[in-house]
Amino acid sequence: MAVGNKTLQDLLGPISKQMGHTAVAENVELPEWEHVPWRCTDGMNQQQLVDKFIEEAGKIGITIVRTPAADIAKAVAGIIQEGVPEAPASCTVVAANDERFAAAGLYDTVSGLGNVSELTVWDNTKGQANVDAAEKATYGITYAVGGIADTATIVQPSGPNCGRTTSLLPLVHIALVDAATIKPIMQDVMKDIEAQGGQLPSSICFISGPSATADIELVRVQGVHGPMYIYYVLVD
Amino acid sequence: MKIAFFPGCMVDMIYPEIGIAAVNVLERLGCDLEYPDEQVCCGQGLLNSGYRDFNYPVAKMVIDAYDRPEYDLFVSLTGSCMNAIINDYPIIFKDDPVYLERTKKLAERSYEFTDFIVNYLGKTDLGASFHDTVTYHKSCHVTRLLGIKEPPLKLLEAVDGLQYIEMEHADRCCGFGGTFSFKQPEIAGEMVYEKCQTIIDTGANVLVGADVPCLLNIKGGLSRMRSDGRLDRDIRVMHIAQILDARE
Amino acid sequence: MNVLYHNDVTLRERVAECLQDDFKHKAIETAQEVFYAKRGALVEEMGEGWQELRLRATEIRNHVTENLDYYVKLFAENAEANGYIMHYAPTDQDALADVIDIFEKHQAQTTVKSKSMMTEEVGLNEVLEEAGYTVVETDCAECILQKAESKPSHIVVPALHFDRDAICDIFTEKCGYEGTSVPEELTHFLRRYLRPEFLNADIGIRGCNFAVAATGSPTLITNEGNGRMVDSVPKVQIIFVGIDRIVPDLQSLDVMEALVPRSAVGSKMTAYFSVDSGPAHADEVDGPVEAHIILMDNGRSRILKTEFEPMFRCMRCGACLNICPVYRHITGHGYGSIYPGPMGVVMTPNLVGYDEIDTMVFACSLCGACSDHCPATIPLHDLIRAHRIEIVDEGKNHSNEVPVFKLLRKMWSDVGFYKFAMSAGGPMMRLFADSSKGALTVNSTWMPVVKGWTSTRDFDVLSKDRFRTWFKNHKPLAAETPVQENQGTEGGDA
Repeated sequence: MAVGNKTLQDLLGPISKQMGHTAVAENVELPEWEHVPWRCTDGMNQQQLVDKFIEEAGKIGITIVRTPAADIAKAVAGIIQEGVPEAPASCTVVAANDERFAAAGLYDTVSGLGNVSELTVWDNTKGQANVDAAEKATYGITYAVGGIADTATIVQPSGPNCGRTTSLLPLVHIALVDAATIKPIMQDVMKDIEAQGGQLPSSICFISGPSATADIELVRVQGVHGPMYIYYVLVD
Repeated sequence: MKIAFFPGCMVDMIYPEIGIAAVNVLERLGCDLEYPDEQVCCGQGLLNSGYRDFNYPVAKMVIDAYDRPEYDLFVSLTGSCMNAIINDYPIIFKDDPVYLERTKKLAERSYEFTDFIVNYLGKTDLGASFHDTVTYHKSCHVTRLLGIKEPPLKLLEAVDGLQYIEMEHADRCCGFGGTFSFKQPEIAGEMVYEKCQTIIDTGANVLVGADVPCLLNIKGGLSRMRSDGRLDRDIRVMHIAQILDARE
Repeated sequence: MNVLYHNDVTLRERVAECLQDDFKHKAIETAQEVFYAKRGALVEEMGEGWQELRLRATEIRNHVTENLDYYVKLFAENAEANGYIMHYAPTDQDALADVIDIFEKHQAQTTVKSKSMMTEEVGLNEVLEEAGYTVVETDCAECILQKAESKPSHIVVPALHFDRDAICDIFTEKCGYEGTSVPEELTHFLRRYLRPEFLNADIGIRGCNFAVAATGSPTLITNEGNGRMVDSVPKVQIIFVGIDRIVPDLQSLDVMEALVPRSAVGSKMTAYFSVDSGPAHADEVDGPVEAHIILMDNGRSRILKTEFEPMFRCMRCGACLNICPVYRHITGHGYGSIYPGPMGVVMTPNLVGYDEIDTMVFACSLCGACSDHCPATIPLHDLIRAHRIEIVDEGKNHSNEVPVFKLLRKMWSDVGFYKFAMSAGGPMMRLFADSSKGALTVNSTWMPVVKGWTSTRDFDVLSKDRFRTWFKNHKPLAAETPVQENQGTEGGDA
């Protein structure tokens, strides 16, 4: 829908005119790009990509926990049990609604932890209550759809079972990511998204570390508006 | 092989000793030099201030003086003039195809002084000796705009007795910028003082450059700092040609 | 008053003020050093790949610019298909009118904003506040500036001119802060202080780093997470998109993301990079229910098919500021434009014209460091000079400088006159010079034109003899080694 005081034609007219175009082209093909930049992940096998991912994560304040798929509940429980300095003695948790979590018994394990008073599993029939839970939560748990080795980035789309705020409002974000989904660079992830086609998620967030700022005297501080800590649970 | 030598107007006006040193160096290397009398300056101060049309007659004079069949090569002692002629004259001659073409042809056989010695003549050790501590200002025009990074350093390295000390941010602008240094003296002053401080901090006794205008500016900055007490020793300012000519 | 360029004081007055502010000046110098070192390490790590990456970005952006009307239309249509409510703004006034309409329709009262240069460009905050709305800046630095009623001194870290104690005082006075001036404590206070603002705001306003034409997706780069909050929490969202933000497809984002954080702050990646494609879907519980895009031109298209067209490649990363030796001393406040540094010196007159900008385009030594560092290979220093040429061509130069340039033209294009001037000028200069130094010194600051130089530096006087005279009379030295032609390789080594 277009509303407001001006139309698309009002915007395009002067642009086309300045370009000397009488009409906007029907179709423009992308050219073959001449320059193909070398990237540090070129030629790496999957094992090397995972190693690179771990190495880069270490540089930007991300804690990595590796685990076999069967033990993800244990791995996540370990993180919460160990806790972070700012966590209250009794804390709440919000988690994405994910079959793999259920299958691994993660919800039961987490809600049974001594320092967890409440676990909210994302439920889109409950509307705003999910966001309220995320706002109060110390821990937010999500399952990323992929990773990028070059920058230790995880790919986190929004959807009915995992909101934008699940990974944003809690003090700590625990993101699970399958080692097999780690790609060399962002371009590879984008290629996959383009190949899938169809309606894109309303938001895809590429997350690389805790929220941070250096606005005061260039001193780096972790934990501004997003999570102060981030854990990647790397699932083999 | 005849070489048309372009010293730059500041050499003719203010620092003939730099030109003399360069001629000595090139002649010892066997170069047959000519210096046409019918020109004065590349005129870049005009273009850089926006006066392209004023630069036109000046540029034509330079092309007429240097683009002659009897000259095989063009060697410029000052990087910024060289850059003006090969990279900026096309802007001045954009509506003059004849001079545009002549400029392109001249550019093809043009060399900056240090680049000429190292990359054309293939020489680095010129038998010079200079027993002192030296730091080198990597001027914008030689280093960045002409892309000549290694030749001056290779030449300095081969000088007997010379002790080279790299300054911090050696490729940062000294604040000359032609008319900029007259029009924005407060900013240019801050820039040259900072450049001078990095020179002073090396502890070197001599500042060397390959661009004459920067030397005028830096020398002026050091001299002012010496007068007002910010600098408590003498630092010599020399063109690289003078070092290469030295037998001290 | 023009909101983009503040012409209430002259450039010279502003520069003088900035040069006097030692803390501000040092803070920017430190920022430059830190970013420069971090960026340098990352660029070195990429080797040849860095230059290729810059050239690929240049190719991509040029392709879009050469087909701009097509890509603007494609982005608009695909964004609309994603469910965005589109607003088309040829001018800043169109953008402002549409924003006010949205506020009125929703009877909104408060808005949270994440840093957006486009909203600065149109003076959005002032307009909204005048209309009675509460605007909350949520970027840490922007929030400090808003509370202190100050202006950005840097486009990436805008509040560097305040030290921790000053920020502590601002928070104490304006926000009821009771802690110390430790940056971590101040920052974590902001987290608590702004959280309710995000949760209670009626509308979120943000910018857009790149707009993907093929998928109609605006994107957002943020480190603090405030951009993500604006993007995730308020039910109504307004996104400002410039027509110079467009990339063709999702894959292009990889190249841009590889360049921008490295160039801006010397890191490989920012904490968050969001690619949005419409408002929240019906089955989602967070994200905006209603999302508006303000697609704005505001003078940008005027440079299409002119020599300034490469500015369409600008990614607003600030790399040119981080290396500029002028910016280093006069800071963002010296320029008077919301777009400072080399990119600002090129862009500001493009947007507002030459009548408005005082002598801004002359505050540059044309050193070329900016062009060398620009991730999109924009020849910034050439464009700054191109502005000067246009100013002279259009007769907008200061008439009092023309006689000086006429004299230079005469002297440099008439050898006879030059020789006369040297023979007359030399003795005159020596008369006023400090003879021990052979230079005009601080005592010569009364001399017109020359005082520009001698106010800060000494000026060596003309030599007694011309080099050309020596050359004509000299006897060539004998060659020490026989000359061999072209033994080396040709040309520069870079």
